[in-house]
Amino acid sequence: MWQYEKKLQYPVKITNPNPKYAQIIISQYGGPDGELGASMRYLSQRYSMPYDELKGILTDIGTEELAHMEMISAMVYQLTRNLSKDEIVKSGFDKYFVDHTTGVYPIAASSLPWRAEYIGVKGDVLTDLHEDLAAEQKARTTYDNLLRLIDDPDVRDPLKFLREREIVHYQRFGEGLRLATDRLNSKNFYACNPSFDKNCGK
Amino acid sequence: MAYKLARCIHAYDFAILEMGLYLDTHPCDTAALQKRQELQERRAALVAEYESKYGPYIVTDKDVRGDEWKWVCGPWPWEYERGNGNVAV
Repeated sequence: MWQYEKKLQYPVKITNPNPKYAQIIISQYGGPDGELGASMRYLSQRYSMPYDELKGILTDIGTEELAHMEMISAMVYQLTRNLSKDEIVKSGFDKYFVDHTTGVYPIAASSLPWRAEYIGVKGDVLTDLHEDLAAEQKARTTYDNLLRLIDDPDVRDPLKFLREREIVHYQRFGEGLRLATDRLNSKNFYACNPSFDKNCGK
Repeated sequence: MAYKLARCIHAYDFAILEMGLYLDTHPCDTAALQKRQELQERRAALVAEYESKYGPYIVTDKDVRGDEWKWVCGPWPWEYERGNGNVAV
């Protein structure tokens, strides 16, 4: 189960609304490499993990991703407050506004709604960990791209924090991969699937 | 100031979480275990200081105290307004 803590993991304090920024940042909520997908990916993969360290790291990182989803949602919320009709139309936010007003709905910057196809759960420890390592790098690239496009320091600051977290998670998943391969046949890591085959690596 | 002290507690929360991720992949690192325990103790001292000065540390605490269900009282974490002294950052 989970318990809610009434705080953001890192503060989001945006003074100036900017619906253009909101439309690209929302991709890290409902886009292909966003935080919603990240939490669903890790929290779903942990059931077929054969080793305790991997169950632990997927649970804890999957939980932290929920906190990142909340930070991104807070950014979208604060960037779309108190908008005039002119601001909505001129920024191109009207296409989102007509369906969702200023509610926060999980879509990509391209406007595609979130889909389960963004995540992989293969039930094979090596396959899933490689997916996770790639996912952290894809999210890091997305934050880099957002930081290329955004000048407001109020918005850049939490984005930089989130970018750093992708790098830390990549490191931890890399250690998880090493812990897994240390328990397998070093001449053929793929001789069996320890998530499924009994006595694999024993 | 309540806000400053709350931020300080949040910084410890983050450090404790970060040590937790590290320990997931290094569960036998006794120095890291010791460090995490120290962080938890320092955090507990700050929460005690907060509660003695400002009342319940409501950011994480859903216990009923006094005659009000404070859990529903805003601002909520995402509701930053300039100058509203939002403790629940």
